[in-house]
Amino acid sequence: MATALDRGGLWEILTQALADRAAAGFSIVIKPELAGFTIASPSITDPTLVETLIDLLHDRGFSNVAIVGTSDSSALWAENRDIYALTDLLGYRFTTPKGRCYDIVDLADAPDGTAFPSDSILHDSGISRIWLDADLRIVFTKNRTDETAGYSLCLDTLIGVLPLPDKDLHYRKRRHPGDVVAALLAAAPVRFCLIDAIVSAHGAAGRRAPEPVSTGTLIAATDVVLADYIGALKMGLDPATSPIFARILHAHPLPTHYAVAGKLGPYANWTNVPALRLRTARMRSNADTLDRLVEPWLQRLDPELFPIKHPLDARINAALAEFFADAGADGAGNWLMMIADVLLGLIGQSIESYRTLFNKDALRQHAVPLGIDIDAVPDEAFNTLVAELLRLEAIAAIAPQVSSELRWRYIEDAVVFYYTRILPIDYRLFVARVDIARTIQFMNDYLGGVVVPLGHDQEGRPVRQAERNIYLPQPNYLVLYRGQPIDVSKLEVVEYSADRRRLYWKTIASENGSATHDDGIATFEQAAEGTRVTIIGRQLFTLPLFWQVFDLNLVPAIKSMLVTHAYSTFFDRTMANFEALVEGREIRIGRPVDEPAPPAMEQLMPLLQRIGEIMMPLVQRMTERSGSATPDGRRRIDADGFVHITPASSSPLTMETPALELDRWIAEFARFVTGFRDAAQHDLTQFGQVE
Amino acid sequence: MRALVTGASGLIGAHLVQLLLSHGHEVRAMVRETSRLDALALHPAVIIAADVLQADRRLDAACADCDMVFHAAAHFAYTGISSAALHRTAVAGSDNMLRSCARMGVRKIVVTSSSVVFGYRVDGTVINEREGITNGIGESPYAEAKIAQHRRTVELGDRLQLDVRLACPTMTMGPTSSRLGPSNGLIVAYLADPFGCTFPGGCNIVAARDVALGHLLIAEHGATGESYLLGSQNLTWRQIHTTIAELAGVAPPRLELNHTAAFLAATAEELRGAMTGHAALSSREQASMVGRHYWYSHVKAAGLGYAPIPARDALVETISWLAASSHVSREVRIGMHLTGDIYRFRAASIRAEQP
Repeated sequence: MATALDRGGLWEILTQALADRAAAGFSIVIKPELAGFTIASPSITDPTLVETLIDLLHDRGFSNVAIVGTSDSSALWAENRDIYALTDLLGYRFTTPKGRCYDIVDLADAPDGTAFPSDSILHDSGISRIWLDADLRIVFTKNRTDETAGYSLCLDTLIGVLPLPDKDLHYRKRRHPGDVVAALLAAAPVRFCLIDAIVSAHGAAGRRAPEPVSTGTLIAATDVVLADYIGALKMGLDPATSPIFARILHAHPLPTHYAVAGKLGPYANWTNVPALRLRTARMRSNADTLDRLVEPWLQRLDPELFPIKHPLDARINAALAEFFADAGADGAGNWLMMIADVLLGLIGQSIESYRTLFNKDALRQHAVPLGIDIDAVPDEAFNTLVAELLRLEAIAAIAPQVSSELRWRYIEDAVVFYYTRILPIDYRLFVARVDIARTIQFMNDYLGGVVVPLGHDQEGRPVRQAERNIYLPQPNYLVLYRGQPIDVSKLEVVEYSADRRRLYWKTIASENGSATHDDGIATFEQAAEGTRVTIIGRQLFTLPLFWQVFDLNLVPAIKSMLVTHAYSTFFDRTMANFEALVEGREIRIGRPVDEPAPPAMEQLMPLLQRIGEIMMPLVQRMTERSGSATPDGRRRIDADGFVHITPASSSPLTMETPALELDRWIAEFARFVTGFRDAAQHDLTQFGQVE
Repeated sequence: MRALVTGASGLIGAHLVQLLLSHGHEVRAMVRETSRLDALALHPAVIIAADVLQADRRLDAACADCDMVFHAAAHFAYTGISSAALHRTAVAGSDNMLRSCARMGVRKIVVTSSSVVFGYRVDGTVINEREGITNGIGESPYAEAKIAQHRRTVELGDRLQLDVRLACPTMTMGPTSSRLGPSNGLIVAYLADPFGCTFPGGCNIVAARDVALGHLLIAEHGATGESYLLGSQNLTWRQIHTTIAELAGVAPPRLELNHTAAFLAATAEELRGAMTGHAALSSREQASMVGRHYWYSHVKAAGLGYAPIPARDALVETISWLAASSHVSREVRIGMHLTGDIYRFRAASIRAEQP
C-alpha cells in the first residue's frame, strides 16, 4: 500500500493541496466499494486495506479522514443495506487496528439540492456537502467483472456518493451512468484512485455471483478515468467495453501525459464476462422494470446477514440464485440465463414499443447533458447559422405544395419543408403562453433535453442558446424496427420584435447518430385572424437498418405519401400542443425522470393478488367438489400470495366468501349473455323488417 | 329572495347558483360534506353541508327562512352505482327534502326531474309533457329512479300541500361541473374513440345555463304540480357526433354501430374501466339506448319565456371547456384542432369577464 501511494503520487497531491494549512484540519473522504452480500465478499474493497490507507494518512498527520457512501438499490429489497449496518457487517469499526479513528458518513443525509448547475444532468438531484467540501476525495474500488458493463471499477463506484437510494434506477437506467459520472466529476473532481486487486472478483456472473481470484495487485492513479483504463487493460479488456468509460471520454478524456509504473500484462487465470453473455445481460438491463424484478432473485447472498424483504423474493432467490451463480460458459445455467435475458429483453422492448405507439404518458422522460462544448463554439457560428437558414427558408417557401399548410421537397436526401398555419388565438396571448425560445420543447413527441442560454437581450430574454433534444422516433412506428429516439444538439438564435418572434436552430451534433440534419426556423407572427405560426426546416434522420435495406427510394410514390403523412401528423400535433399551452395544459409526454418507483415486486403484487382473487373461487369450487375444503370458510391471501382457508365459525367474516364471489361472476356472465342476446335479437328483428 | 339549491356542486346545481346570484338573489348552496367545491369556488354563495338522505336538523336548517328550494341533488350515472343507490337518492332524497320544506314553511319547490320520465320513441316522434309519464319498462336504472322520483314528488307535494313544480331537462351539457358526468362524457367518449363510432337514434341537447334559466322561469312563472321539459334541439347521434368532430377538429363518424356492436363495445369499455380503475366512458346501459330517439318538445316551457341556445352553441361552450380540462387526456387533446367557433367563444367570454 505504501509503495502504491508513493508511486501513485498521493503525497505530492497532498503537499500541493495542503499549501500552508495544517494537515490535521485537512479533510479527506474515501469512497470504498461496499456492494457485497457476504462477509469477505470478493466484490468489496478489503476493509483492512482501507484502514491501512487511513493509518498511512494518519502517519503523515492527516487525521480528519472519513469513509463515505450511501445505500444502493439493493436496500429496496434486502435488509441491512444502509451504510452503517453494511459497513459494520463488512468489518469497518471506526478505529483502525493501530487505534486511529475515522468516521463513517452517509452521504444521503441532507444533500445540497443546489450543487449542480441548471444545465447539469444532475440538476435538482443534490449531493452531500461533505463530499463537495472535502479537501481531497479518494475512490478506493474493487477489481471486478460486471455482467452488463464488462467490468466495474472507480467510475462505477463513484456513483455511490450520490444520494438517491435507488441508484440503478436514477443514475444508471434513467440517466446514462457515463453522463452522471461526468457531471459528478465536473462538480467535485476525484484526486486519487485506488483499485484493490489483491484478491479480485472475476467470472461471467460479475457482481451477481462473484468468484474470488488472487491477482496480487494494487492500482493507484491520480486520474479516475486513467485508473479504470489501466484496470480494464489488466483484465485483458477493451476499456470502452464499459458504457460508463466509453461515454465519459467525451467530457473527461485520458490525461495527455502519464506514466505507467508496473506491468500491464493481464492477470493470470482471469475470466471475463463472455461477449454473448454481455450482450444478453444488457438486453435484460434495458428492460428496466423486469430487470429490477429479477435482481433480488438472482443475487447470491448470505440470507442471515442480508435477509430479503419480500418473502416471495426470498423463496425465489433460494431456488434460483445458486443455480444461475454456477454459470460457467458451458453450463446449463449460463445458457438458461442468456435465454432468460433475451426473453426479458424482448418483453421489455415490446412494452416500450407499445408505450411509444399507444401510451406515451407511460414512457420515461430523458435527462441528458448538453452534447456541445459551448466554449469551443465561436460567436461567428451564430451569425452564420442565421444566414444559412434564411437561404434555406427561401428554398423551402417554393417547395411543391402538398396541402394548404405544407410544402416539402428533397435536397441532398434531406426533406426541406415549409409549414404554416394561422391559429385563431390573439397574438399577445399566444406569445405570452408559448415561449418562442422553448418552441422545440413544445413540438410533438419531445421526450427530454436541456437548454443552456448563452446570451440575453435587455429584457432578459434569451437571444442565443444551445439545446439538446430527444424525441421519439419519427414516425413513431419506426420503433417497431428498432428505430432510435432522435437525439440532436443544436445552436439557436432567438429574435423578438413587436409583431414577430423567431427561433433559428441548427444541429451540430447527434449523440446516437440519429440525425444528419435537423435545422430550421420557427416564426410566430401577428395576423389579422390571430397568430400565424410558420416552421421551415431541413431534416435528414437515420433510418433503422430494415428501411435502409428496403429502400423506399425505389418506390417514390409510396415514400412521398409516407413523408407527407409523417410531416402532416407531426405538425398537426405540434399545433395542438401550442393550443394546449395557451389553454394552460401540461403537454409533456412521459413521466418525470426522478419520479420514484417502488420495488418491482411491490408493483407486481396487486396484479398477482387480483389474479388470485379472480382464480380463487374457481379453485375453491373445485376443491369443494373433491370434499377437501370448507364450503362456509373464508380466505385470506398472505404476503406470499398463498391463500389461507379458515372455518367460518372461528373468526368474523372479512371478505366475500368464494361462493358469493363466484356467484357474482356467474351473474355478471349471465347479464352479459342476456344483454348480448337482446341486442342481437334487436338487430335481427330490424334486419328482418328491412328485408 | 332567499333560495336553497341542493346538489349545488353538480352541473345543473352550480349553474343555478350562478344564475340566482347574478339575478341578485341570496343563495344557499347545499352540498354533501364529501362534494368537490370547484364549481362553486368563484361564487359568493353560502355553502351548507347537508345530505338529502339524512333527514336531520341540518336539512331543516338549510331550508329555514328560504323562500324557495331548487332540489337538483341526484345521482346521474349509468355505471359505478347500484340501482338501489340511484333509487334511494332520487326518491328518499326528494321525500326528505319535501318533508323538510313542509316543516320549515317553504312553500315553493322546483324539483329537477328528467326528460327520460317521458320515455322515448323508436320512430323519431317528438315527445311532449301531455303524453304523460312512461311506465319505465325496459328503461335504465337511472330512468327508473327518475320516474319513481317524479311520481313520488307529485304525490307527496300534493299531500303536503306544497307548491311543487318539476323541471325535466334533456341531455344537459356545459362547463363548471367538477365531475365529468354522462352527458359531457359522451363528448369525451367520442373524442377518445379511435374508430369514430356513432349509433342510430338520437337525443335532445341543451346548455346547462339554459336549464338553469328554465328552472328560474318555472319558479317565477310556472304552475303548481306542472312538469316542464327543458331542452333545445333534437338531433340524431350522427348529427351530434358530426358536430363534435367539426368543432373539435377530429375525424367525423366513420362507423355506425348496431345494437350488438354497441353492446360489445360498451362491454369492452366497462372491462377496460374495471382493469385500469378509470371510469368507463360508456356502459351497457347506455348501449341499450341505441336506436332510441329521446326527442322532446320544449314548447310548454317556451310559454314561460324559455328560449335556449341551439345545441351547436351548447357544444361549442362545452368543448371549449373540456379541451382545456383534465377530463380530456393529453393524448386526446393533441389529436384535436379546435375550430374558429371555439376560439371566438373563448374570446367573447374573456371580453364578457372584463369590466
